[in-house]
Amino acid sequence: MNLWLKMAVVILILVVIATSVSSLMTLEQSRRSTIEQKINECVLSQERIIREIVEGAIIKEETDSVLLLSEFDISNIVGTALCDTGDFFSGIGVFTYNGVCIFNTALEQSNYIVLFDKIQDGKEDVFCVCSDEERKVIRGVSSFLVDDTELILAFEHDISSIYESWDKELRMLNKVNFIVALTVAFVMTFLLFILLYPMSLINRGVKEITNGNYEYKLAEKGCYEFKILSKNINALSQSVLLNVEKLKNISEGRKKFIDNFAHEMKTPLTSIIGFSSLMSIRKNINKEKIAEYSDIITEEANRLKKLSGKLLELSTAEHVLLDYSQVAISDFFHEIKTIMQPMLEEKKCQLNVEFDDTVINIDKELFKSLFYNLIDNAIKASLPGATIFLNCQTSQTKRNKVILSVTDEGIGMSESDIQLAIEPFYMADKARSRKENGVGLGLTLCAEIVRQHNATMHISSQLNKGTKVCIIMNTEDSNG
Amino acid sequence: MNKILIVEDDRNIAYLIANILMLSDYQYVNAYDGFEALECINRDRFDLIILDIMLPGVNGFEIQDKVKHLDIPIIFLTALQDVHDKVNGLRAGAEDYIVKPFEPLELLARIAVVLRRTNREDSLLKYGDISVNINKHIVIQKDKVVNLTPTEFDIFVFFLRNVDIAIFRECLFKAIWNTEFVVESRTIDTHIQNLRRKLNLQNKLITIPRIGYRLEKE
Repeated sequence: MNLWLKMAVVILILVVIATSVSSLMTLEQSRRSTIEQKINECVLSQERIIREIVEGAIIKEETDSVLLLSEFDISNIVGTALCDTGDFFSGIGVFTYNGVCIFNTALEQSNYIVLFDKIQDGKEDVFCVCSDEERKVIRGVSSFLVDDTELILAFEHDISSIYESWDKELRMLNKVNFIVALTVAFVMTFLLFILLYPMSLINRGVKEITNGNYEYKLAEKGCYEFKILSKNINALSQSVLLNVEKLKNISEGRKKFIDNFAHEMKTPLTSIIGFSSLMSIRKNINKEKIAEYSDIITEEANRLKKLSGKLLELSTAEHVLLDYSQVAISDFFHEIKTIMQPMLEEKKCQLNVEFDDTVINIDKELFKSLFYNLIDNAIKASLPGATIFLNCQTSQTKRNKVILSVTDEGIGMSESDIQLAIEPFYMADKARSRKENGVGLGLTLCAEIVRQHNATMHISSQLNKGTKVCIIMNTEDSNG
Repeated sequence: MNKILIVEDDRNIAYLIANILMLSDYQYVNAYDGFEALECINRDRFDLIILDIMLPGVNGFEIQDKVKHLDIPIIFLTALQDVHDKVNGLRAGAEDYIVKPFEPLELLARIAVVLRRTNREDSLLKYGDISVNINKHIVIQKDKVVNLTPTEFDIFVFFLRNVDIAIFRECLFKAIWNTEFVVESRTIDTHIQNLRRKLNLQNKLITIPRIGYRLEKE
C-alpha cells in the first residue's frame, strides 16, 4: 500500500473516532442535564402540590372547625390540588402509608412497590428514571403529613421526547460525522499526494541513476526532508561517478602499460625469432650473415634481459616492505660514486659530489637503485667528457626538508617530454634510447621509489641546456 | 619484380624484414618513421606496404588514411593484440594483419596471398624448363602443357616463389588452405608426390625430415 494512502486511511479512522467520541460525549452530557432539569421541575411541582394539599387541609379544618379531617375530606382536598396541576405529570396519585389509593389519575401502582419500600425504610423522597416498554419516565414518591396522617404522593413524568430528540440528534450527528470524515479524507489524500509528489520524482531519479546514468541530477524540490534527500542522492551519484572515473583511469593506465609492455617485449622477440628462423630455413647462408644475425640475436636477447630485470626491480619497489635505516649522506654519496665509476669512465664523464652532514632515513638498497637510474640517465643525456652534479641541500627556510639533486648539462627535454617522463616505457627519443640500451622504465622506477619514501620528485629541464632532478625529502616524516 | 615498402622504426626488425623479402627476390625500400614513409610513397610506386602501427611521428593508422587514395595494399605489422585495433585496421581497408613476433615464412606467405588477391604478383614464373602463367593457370614444360589440379598449382607456385627455402608443413597449410590447422600431413605428401611425378622434380623438390620440403635452385 502506498504511504500516502496508508496515512490517509489512518487519519480518516482517527478523525471518525475523535468526532464520534466528542460529539457522543457532548450529547450525553446535554441529555443528562436536561433530565436533571426535568427532575428538578418535578420536585418543584411536587412540593407545590404537597404544599397546596397541606394548606387546603388547614383551611378546611379552620372553616369546618374540626380537629381531624375525615378520609373523604382529605380525598377531596387532594383531588382539588391534583386537578390544578394540568398535564405536566402524565400521572399522579396519593396513597396512604400502607399503599391504599386515595386518588389516582393514571398510575400503575405496581411500578411503585420498590419506591414505596424505600419510603417505608425512612426516606422522605425517592426519584428514578425508568423505562417501560415504549416510554421513558421519571418516577418519584414523596411522603408528607396531613393531620398526623402520613400520605405518599407518587407521580410519573414522561420524558420519552427527550430520548426521541436525542436519537434524532444522534442520527443527525452520524450523518454529519460521515460527511466531515469523507471530506477530511479526501482533502488529506489530496494534500498527502501533493506533499509526497517529490518522492516520486526522487524515485524516478534513483531509477535513472541505477541504470547507470550517473550524470543525472535530481531536482532539489519539495519539503526540507525531500530537499536533503535529493541533495544526498546527488552527492552519492557524484561520488559514484568520481569512483567510476578513477577506476576507468586505473584500468586505462593498466591497459596502456600492458600494450606498451607487449610492444617492448615483442620487438626484441621478433628479431630473435625472425633471425634464428632465417638461419634455419636458408640453405646457402654465408659465414658473415650468420655472424651478423647472431650479433643481432644476442643484442636483442640482452635487451629482453634488461627489460625483465627492470620490470622485476619495479615490481620489487612496488611490493617490498621498506627496510629503513639511518644513512649519512656522505657515506651514501661515496658509495654511489663507486658504483657509477665504470659507467662514468666509459663516457669519460665527471661526477661532482657535494654534501653536508645530514643523515636521512631511507631504504638504502632502493635509494641506490634510484640514484643509479638518475645518474645513468644523466650520463646518457650528456656528451662525452661532461660533468654531472650530485648535490645534497638542507632547506634554508624549513629545517626538516632535505633536497637531493642530480644535475646534468646534456641534451635536456621539452616541456611535454617532462610531463610524460615517468610514464612506463616512455622514451623521448626511441632510437637514441635503444642505442643507449634503455627500456623506458628508469624514471618510472625512480618515481615509485620516491613515492614509497613519501618524498616528491621534481624534474626541471631545458632543451640543450640540461636536466635537474630533485628529490625533496621530509626528514621528520621519514623519521616518524 | 614487386616492390615493397617496409615501414618499421626498429632497425633490427626492419633489417629482418628486408632479409626475409630477399628470400623471395622482392625489391624493397626501408622507412624508419611515419614522415619518411610518406615521403617514399610520394616519390615512388609500391605494390605493397608493410606497416608498423606504433611509429614515431605519424602512426600506422594515420599513414593508411593518407595513402588510401593510392590503393596500395597494406599489411599491418604490430605488437598490439587488441581485437579492437585489429578491427580498426581491417575496417579501414588493410589487407592483412600480422602480430609480432612472426615466422619469416608466414610473412612471405601473407605477402604472396595479398599480392595475388590484388592482382599485383608477377604473372610469369620460370623454373628450368618449366614456365608458369599464373593468370592463365597454365604450366608448360618443354612446350607441353602439364595438367595440374588447382591445389597442386597453388603449391607449385608457392614453391617457385620461395626457391631454396625450407618450407614447413604448417606454413604450406597456411599459405594454400589459409588455415591454422594441419589437416593431415599425408594430404600434403600426396600433393607433393603428384607434383614430383608430373614435373619430373624428384631430385629438386626434396623432403627435409621433421620440417617439410624445399625446392632446390635450378
